[in-house]
Amino acid sequence: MQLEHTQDDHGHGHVHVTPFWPMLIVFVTLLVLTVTTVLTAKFVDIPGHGNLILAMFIACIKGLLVAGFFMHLVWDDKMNTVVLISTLFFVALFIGIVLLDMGARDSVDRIQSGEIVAGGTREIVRNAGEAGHADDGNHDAPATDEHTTEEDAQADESHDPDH
Amino acid sequence: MTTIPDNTPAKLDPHEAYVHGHHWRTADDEASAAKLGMWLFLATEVLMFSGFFCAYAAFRMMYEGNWVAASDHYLDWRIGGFNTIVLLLSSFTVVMAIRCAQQNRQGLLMFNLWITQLCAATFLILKVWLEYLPKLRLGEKPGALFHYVPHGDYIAGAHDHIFLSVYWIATATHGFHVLVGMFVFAWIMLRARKRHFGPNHYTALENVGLYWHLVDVIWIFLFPLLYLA
Amino acid sequence: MSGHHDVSYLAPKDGFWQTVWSWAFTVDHKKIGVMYLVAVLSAFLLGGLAAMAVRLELWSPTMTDPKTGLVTGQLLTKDLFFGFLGDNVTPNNIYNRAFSLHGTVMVFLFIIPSIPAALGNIFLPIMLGAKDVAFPKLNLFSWYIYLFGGTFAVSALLMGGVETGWTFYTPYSTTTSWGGVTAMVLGAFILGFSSILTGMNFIATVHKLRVPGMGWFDMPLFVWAIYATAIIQVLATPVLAITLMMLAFERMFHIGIFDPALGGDPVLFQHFFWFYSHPAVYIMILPGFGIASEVISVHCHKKIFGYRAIAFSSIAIAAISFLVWGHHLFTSETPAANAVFSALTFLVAVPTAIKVFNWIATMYKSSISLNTPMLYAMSFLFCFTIGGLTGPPLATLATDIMLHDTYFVVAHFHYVMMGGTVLMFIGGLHHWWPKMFGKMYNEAGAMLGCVLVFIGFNLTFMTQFFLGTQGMPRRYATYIDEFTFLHQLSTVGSLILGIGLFVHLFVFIASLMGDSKAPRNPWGGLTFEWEADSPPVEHNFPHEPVIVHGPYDYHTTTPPHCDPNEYPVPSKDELGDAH
Ligand code: HEM
Ligand SMILES: [Cu+2]
Repeated sequence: MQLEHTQDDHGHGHVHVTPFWPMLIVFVTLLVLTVTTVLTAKFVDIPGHGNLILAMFIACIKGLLVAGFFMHLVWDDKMNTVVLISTLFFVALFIGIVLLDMGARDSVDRIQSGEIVAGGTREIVRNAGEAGHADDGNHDAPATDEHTTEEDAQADESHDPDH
Repeated sequence: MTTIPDNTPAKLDPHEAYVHGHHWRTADDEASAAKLGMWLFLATEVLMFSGFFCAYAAFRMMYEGNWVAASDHYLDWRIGGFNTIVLLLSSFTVVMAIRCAQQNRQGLLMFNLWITQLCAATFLILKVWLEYLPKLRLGEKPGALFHYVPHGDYIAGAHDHIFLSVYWIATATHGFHVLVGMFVFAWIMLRARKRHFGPNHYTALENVGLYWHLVDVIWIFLFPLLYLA
Repeated sequence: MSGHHDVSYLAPKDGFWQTVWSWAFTVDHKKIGVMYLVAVLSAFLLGGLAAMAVRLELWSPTMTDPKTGLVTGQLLTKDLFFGFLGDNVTPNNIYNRAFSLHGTVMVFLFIIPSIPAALGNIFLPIMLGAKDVAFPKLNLFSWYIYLFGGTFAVSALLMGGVETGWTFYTPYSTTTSWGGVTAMVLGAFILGFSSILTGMNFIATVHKLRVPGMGWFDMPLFVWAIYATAIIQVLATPVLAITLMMLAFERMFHIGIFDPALGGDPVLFQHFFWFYSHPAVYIMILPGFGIASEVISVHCHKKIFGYRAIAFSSIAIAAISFLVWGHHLFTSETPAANAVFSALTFLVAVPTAIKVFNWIATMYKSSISLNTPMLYAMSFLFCFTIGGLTGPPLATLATDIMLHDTYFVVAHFHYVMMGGTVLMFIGGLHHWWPKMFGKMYNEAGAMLGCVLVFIGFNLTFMTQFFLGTQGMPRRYATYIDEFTFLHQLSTVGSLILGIGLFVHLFVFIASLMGDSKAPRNPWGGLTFEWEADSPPVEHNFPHEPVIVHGPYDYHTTTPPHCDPNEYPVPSKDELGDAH
């Protein structure tokens, strides 16, 4: 039964045999880049975020080498590369926009903290915050009507400004 | 007396006798689909790890000075660096294992897989022995579990525990992937011993290799971010 | 390798246990699809019961109905949670658990797997002329993962439950809420893997198993929709996995990533969560769009208008869906991010509207067969358009600050998810029922069900738009008296809706018990599934089908296996200037 199968029926009909020397060169390059990363990080001081950027730049090159050669993307169906690139695109988007938001935090605190309470000043807001804490204990005291009891029971994602 | 004794099915290695699944039109289709499937899986892995990288970036941005000092103090770049090299070597041997399968050099194929396993084990042993256990002893644990036992002239920063949280969850998840890799490679080795992989068919070996390389790439990024911050 | 060329995939095996075995260990995509169908419909039932409990509780403004003296909260404890709750939970806690049970089950167990894993599994390979999906064993495996994760989640929900809603927002989920959150979150984590594996499988199938000669633009639009869905499943779900994992760690080890008290950041959680969950709402709706394209074209007997526009808009929606998650954070993120996300959110309405216009253009001047699937498609167009059009007000910063976390949002997403996905899911079930099970259903009964569902649905949720704009916040067990009328109207609507759904259930069961055999091509469709037997044989087709016409070429092709007099190819004049 097996004898009937032609070359086409087997896997990897026209296979690209992994070459030895290029792969060794890639491997050695990876080692050199690793050493470079360590050396630049430990013994060279680049101002600003220079060190971080350099380290990430080298890591990207290493990643590309592994993906391109070890993982065979250079010789493969281009669809696999498309998968990888779109993945990286969405990763960049995810991290990028989250950082955009987190990075702008300061601006919110500076500009808006005085505007939380209508007609109030920053001091009033602060004092109100402290007073609010002192208040915590007497929730149950009046228990006026049913409608306010949810306060401590509801799964309401109100974003508590004073954590 | 028969004239074609060499071609009897009994003598074929499993990789030579391999027949593709009935729902495939050709074996080529089957192999390339398996590879595409693997790449899609790797995409999910990358996006999953991107959660750690995102948390890392956000907290580094918030606690920059603290971050760098914590990285300096809690992590030893020599261990991380050595482990990087170990993983790179294991990646290289996986590449060579595939080459051996393509050339039907079964003995060398096993040898390369053994080296890979050895590297993976080294990585994990170093990680647990030289990092995790001392860290647990010294109270360098994540988040609320953090209770720093002063040693040296380091004064703990206000947000060291967040750095350590990111460190622990990222490296532990990565280490877990290495461990899974070892199990999968053990399965691959069992199959390789039965000569399941050869020039005609080495899909499983190739795809496990892809997984392994990805684990390596993630470490390539984790290493400078955590150890050399 | 013989025997299954002429045997229906549903045919029982020789003995009872052999039959059970043949299902439990099947790698046949159709059987797996049917198993998914049973599973998601069970989840739908459970989630629906919880919804009824929630609606009944909301009948009166307080926890105790002043007239009847019925303690609605206690009703919830006993019936829904089997008395597993301890004594020290307040009715408010129980209410939270009821709507959380509803939301999590509906989202993670029902609507996300519903169309792709059930109908997609069955019809995607057949529509491509393939014998199976690319990785059949993985397909079965993902069903078992679903079952495992689902069991995990449901037991967590019933034995105590979670109070966080389906969004698991921190710090409520990490500090305040009962411990079931950890188990629930792990259940959702596991369910995520099932979803990822299904998505991977479908992408590989579409790429590698199209019948020779079928190009990308010869694929039915349902396949395009499932393909776009699969992209989102693969790219977004892992972020959910990592989010939920971190949340579980947060609860178990207090790692502090999301805990402000430890220097962590709860808004980071919201970013993580919605990076998955906004694309996830398109995991939910895109397959519904796919069914709409099929149903409308088949039952209007007309070439779909703007094939490429519909196909590309699916992909566009998939891509854009990753850019807009921040619109769920308008009240918690910074103005910089607000501005970006608001602008991007409007973008997503464009490809969505393109689809709606194309469907309407398809119906225009066509000869519509008004049967249940088509009735559902039209209900879908009505409801989904309302749901979609209430999106832009929410995407507008100034209005969203008012509407956020009110019943307006609840109504919005029910109009898109229930009015969009669920209506189309039921429509698709009727459309493909004859093919899946080889039996016709009772048209009059199904129509009655559809009408009840349509009326009940609109009554339930239209009222909630008004409640929301008047200021009724979501996720509250009690409310001021002024809202009573609208809430009661909504509850009445939900009862009608529930009755409608049960009518469908009875129609389906009656169909399975009855013996009105379905013809091969009851509606006169042109895609490959109508060339297969009803129900299909084990490997779908006795011979690999040959592609001789496009999936919607009604103007040039008489549908196969149909009476040519019933579906004559229209003459040039009849076609008019439409082509
Ligand atoms: C036409 C385009 C759409 C736009 C512009 C839009 C916009 C929005 C916005 C801005 C919100 C946040 C409201 C708030 O929390 O204050 C929202 C909530 C929501 N939308 Fe949409 N939407 C659209 C379509 C859809 C579709 C097609 C679905 C699902 C099938 C969907 C499902 C949801 C869900 C589930 C929520 C609420 C989630 C929660 O807080 O529990 N939306 N939408
Ligand atoms: Cu959204």
